[in-house]
Amino acid sequence: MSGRKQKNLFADKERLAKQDAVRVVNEARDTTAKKMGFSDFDHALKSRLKDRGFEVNEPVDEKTWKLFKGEIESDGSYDSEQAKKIYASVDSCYKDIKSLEEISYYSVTDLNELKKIQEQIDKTLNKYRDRNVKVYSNNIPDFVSEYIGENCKEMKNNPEQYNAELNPEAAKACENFEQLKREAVSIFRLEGTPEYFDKAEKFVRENYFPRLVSLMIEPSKSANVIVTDERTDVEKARDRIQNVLRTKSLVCYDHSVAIRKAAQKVAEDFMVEVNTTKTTVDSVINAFYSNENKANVDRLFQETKADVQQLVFQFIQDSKKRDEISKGYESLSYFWMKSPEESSYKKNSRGLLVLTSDNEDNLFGSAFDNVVKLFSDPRLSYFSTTNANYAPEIKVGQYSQSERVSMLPRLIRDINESPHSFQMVLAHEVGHKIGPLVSKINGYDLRSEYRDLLACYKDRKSIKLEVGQEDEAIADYIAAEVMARQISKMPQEQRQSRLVSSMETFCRFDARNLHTHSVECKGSHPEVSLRISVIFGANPNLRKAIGCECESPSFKSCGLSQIKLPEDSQSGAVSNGVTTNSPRGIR
Amino acid sequence: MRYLVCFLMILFPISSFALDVAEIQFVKGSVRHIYRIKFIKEKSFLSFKESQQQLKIKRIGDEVAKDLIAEANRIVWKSAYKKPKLQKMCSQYATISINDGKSEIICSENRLAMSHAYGFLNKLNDLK
Repeated sequence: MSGRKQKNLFADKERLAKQDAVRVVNEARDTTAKKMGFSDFDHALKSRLKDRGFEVNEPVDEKTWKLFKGEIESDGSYDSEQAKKIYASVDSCYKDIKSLEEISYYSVTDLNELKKIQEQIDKTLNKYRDRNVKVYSNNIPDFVSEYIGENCKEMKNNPEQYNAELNPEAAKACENFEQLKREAVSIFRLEGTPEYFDKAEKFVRENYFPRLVSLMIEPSKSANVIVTDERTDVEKARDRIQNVLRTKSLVCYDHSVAIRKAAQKVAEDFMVEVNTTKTTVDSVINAFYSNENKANVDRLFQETKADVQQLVFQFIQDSKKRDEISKGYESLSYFWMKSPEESSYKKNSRGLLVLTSDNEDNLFGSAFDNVVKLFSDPRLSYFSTTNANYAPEIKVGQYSQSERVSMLPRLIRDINESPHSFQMVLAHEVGHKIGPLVSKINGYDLRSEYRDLLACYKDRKSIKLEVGQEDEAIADYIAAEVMARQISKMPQEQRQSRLVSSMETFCRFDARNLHTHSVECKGSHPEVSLRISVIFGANPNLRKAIGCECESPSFKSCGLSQIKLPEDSQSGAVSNGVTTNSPRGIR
Repeated sequence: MRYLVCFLMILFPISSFALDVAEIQFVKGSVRHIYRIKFIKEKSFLSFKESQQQLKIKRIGDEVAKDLIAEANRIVWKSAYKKPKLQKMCSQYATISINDGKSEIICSENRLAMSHAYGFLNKLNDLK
């Protein structure tokens, strides 16, 4: 299979795995939505949006709807039809504005007729102004910071263009901005209470102002212009109509921007409401953290720890460090999410049990282990992200969090399908405990033990290790040695396929970049392709385990020569220092 | 494995050719991730920098950039104005700054703000 086809295969696998995670979350949300009296979550969300003034088109464009809910990733491009595809009022705005375009006013000479035309136009524009007020009532932060704030900045930075005389409402809002913001904050804090909407709508209505009008010498260059020379009443009436119609397309643009941001906020808040109900929480946790998965994780975790401890005894000469590390590995645990206790919930106005953060214990801790916080993410991204981490012990005052490895749910869910890949990632995280910087933090500094190995990795024929990548490179190295030990226990004919399946997660990471056009630069991790080809692919023990007689032809082999495969250890073959073999030739 | 770390800071240099509208910073351990939403020659970009490593930059749609800034702003408001009653300390999770405003520290103890920031950072990470 060609390299590109392989990458596509892994990219597809990655996509399907993410879809599976999204499906689990959706099913959990559907269960909750049914308890709320809806047919499913989509029905519930559309209903909430409609209640707030955002009527969703039926049928809605599926891809756009999924993008809106965050179920599929954006590629950074923007579909200008997006708002029209979802929201009925944006669609109708463009239709209303189109009908204004058909008004023939320039040849009209009767002032009363022109006034009627002006009224018709004003009626349409006021309709959308009114809709914008209702929309922004749902989104005080954006109304104040983005709408008012940005316009005030524009006026301040361009006083010759946007003066107070032409923009009296805007000028008033800008002059009183601080007071206006204080009022906005107190209304914002009322969100979720019965009094919120009336106060919010009143506030927005009082402070909403139309698009800034600019004073320009050449009116044809401006979108919104007041002409000040002497004109007849009919000409002035035509000018006013012309002026307003010049900005007609912006009416729908402004409306779609307002609706897009406000609807996103409404959706975010609703998702948090649904995510934190007991039915959703229990359903999601049960799907990812099943007893069967726990048994598999436990087995692999104990196996991996045992292998790493054996490596420790091979390459660490200092007995005090060795014993301390070994003892540390005995107590090293992994994070396993459990359904919260009943006391973590309280009933909301609909009678549903919802997670509460009023418990002091929920205040402490990072996002990686606090159930309340993880479920308060509107996207529940903890469950759809492929990642894992190691955390040393943390103590803050009376609170402490023990040292632990966390394998995120998507990896756990894949454990039955890709146990070897799971173990490779697990070995990497377990290996972090004895990384250069982490070992220093943990009190058994191993930087001198890794000095030569890291120097080897810095070589241009190796991974060209950069500053800041040391701990990740060593974690990969430990994982490679654990893989070598695991593979060496298998029958010869199964070893190569075992190695390939172990690398699947890396290949999926590499494949994620297949369709991007961004420049790939190194981060705290070495480049994925080098991790695969060099740290793993050129690892002497791993190559030996799968039956490769020679070193990698393309890359420098690096490894701690004290570390031997079990069969070599038994034969008594020992040497000191680092194995550094130059490539025999570049393929 | 990859860590998700972001700070949000907004820089607004008046005379600069490139306009940094939002900057998000997140630090975990020794790793610092910085996401910036920039406008350069009327085009929008998302840049990412990890510790001392090279900058990575990607063109994004203008409306996508505006939506990201709006979401960052909502997180700032949650952080600044919806602090939990029991919150007595602040463990810094991320920092967000938008359009010349002061840097808002997102505290780990503020569940709503921190969780939203966590999801937002994952979104930026997927986008970059």
